[in-house]
Amino acid sequence: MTHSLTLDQSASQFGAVPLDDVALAAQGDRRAFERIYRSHVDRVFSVCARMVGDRARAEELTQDVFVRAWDKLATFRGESQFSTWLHRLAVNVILNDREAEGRRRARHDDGVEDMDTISYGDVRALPVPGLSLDLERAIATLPPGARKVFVLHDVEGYTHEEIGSMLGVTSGGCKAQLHRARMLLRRMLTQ
Amino acid sequence: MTRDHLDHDVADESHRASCAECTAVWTELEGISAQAARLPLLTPSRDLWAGIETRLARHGMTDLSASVAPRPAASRWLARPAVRLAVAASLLVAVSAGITWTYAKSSAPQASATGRSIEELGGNRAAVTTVVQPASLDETVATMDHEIAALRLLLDERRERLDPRTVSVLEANMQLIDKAIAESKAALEADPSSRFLAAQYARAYASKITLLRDVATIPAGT
Repeated sequence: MTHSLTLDQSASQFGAVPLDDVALAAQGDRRAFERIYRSHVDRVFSVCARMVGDRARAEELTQDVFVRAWDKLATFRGESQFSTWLHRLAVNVILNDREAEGRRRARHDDGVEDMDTISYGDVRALPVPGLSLDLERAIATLPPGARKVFVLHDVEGYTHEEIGSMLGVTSGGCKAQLHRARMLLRRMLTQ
Repeated sequence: MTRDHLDHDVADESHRASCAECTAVWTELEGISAQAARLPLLTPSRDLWAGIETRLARHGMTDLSASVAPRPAASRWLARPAVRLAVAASLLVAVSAGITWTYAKSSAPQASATGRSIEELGGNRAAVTTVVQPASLDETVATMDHEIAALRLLLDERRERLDPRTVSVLEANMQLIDKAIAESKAALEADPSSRFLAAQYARAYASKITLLRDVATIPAGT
């Protein structure tokens, strides 16, 4: 199964960012940075919300991402699209978020962070049994490890090699985890 | 078809070639993947900019909106956080050393004292001499204390969202720096003409501000 969405294509959904705004913001122009925020906030929030599975925490993380971006703006050298750079920064902030991790563990107290131990039986009961579940809600119900890989690969367009590097796993382990995530989703969506 | 059967065979292309059931499952998985790639963007429930702007302001970034025009490479170099911190540290050192010089030899011209301090410390003369306005030792220390108090306030607000181990390390480092500040201050009062002690005093203050600024900018949960 191939995924047709590349990262740059995914990141391009941010919309065009005038390079002048990036340069101005790097020099301390907060209004330019606000314009960048306005054009990117939905994209950043989307990846936060889907990876964390908690909208309130995702809003806090989105703020963290932009504060971090402001601080790191001068390190952006234009070697990739600005949107790609910001997206990767957002993913790093999310993966380093221990608070969200703690909440996820509390909600999924099955200890399924070990990516090789997830089985199809690990899916939690749906919040409202019998209610039709769309893909968005099904993703939020995935165990954390499976959700990370699925969102990064199928929604955000990262390659297995990139995801493996981010998560510290092999690309083979990442592929296996992705297959499991898809199977879990299929099961939830067809219940 | 059992779950285990699916697990092992659906992803196996050669198996799918001879198994209509697994092929059908695979097609469904491809559909899920395609649907995921087309998910619409989500929007926060509120405008997050105000909170971001407050945090930017609190960790000491200057809004240059009113005066910004495209600037040459040197300005971009100055825009780098590391360079800003270095310049800020130089400023602090220059101010404190200059003030100490004035404190020790009240008849000496302040600009000269400040300039000499910058040269000794390799600071950016152009940046410093246009900004530094030495007043008195008390005023300078008060300015730095004011910034430290503001950063402290921010830290207190963020404390619960930081990893307890980070907070613990921060507090331990802060105690060490406070001790260094107190010792430098006492030594400087005993020997007000010592530029070395003045520089030590300033460096200790700069370390404290830098540490607090770093903590103010790290992501929650770190």
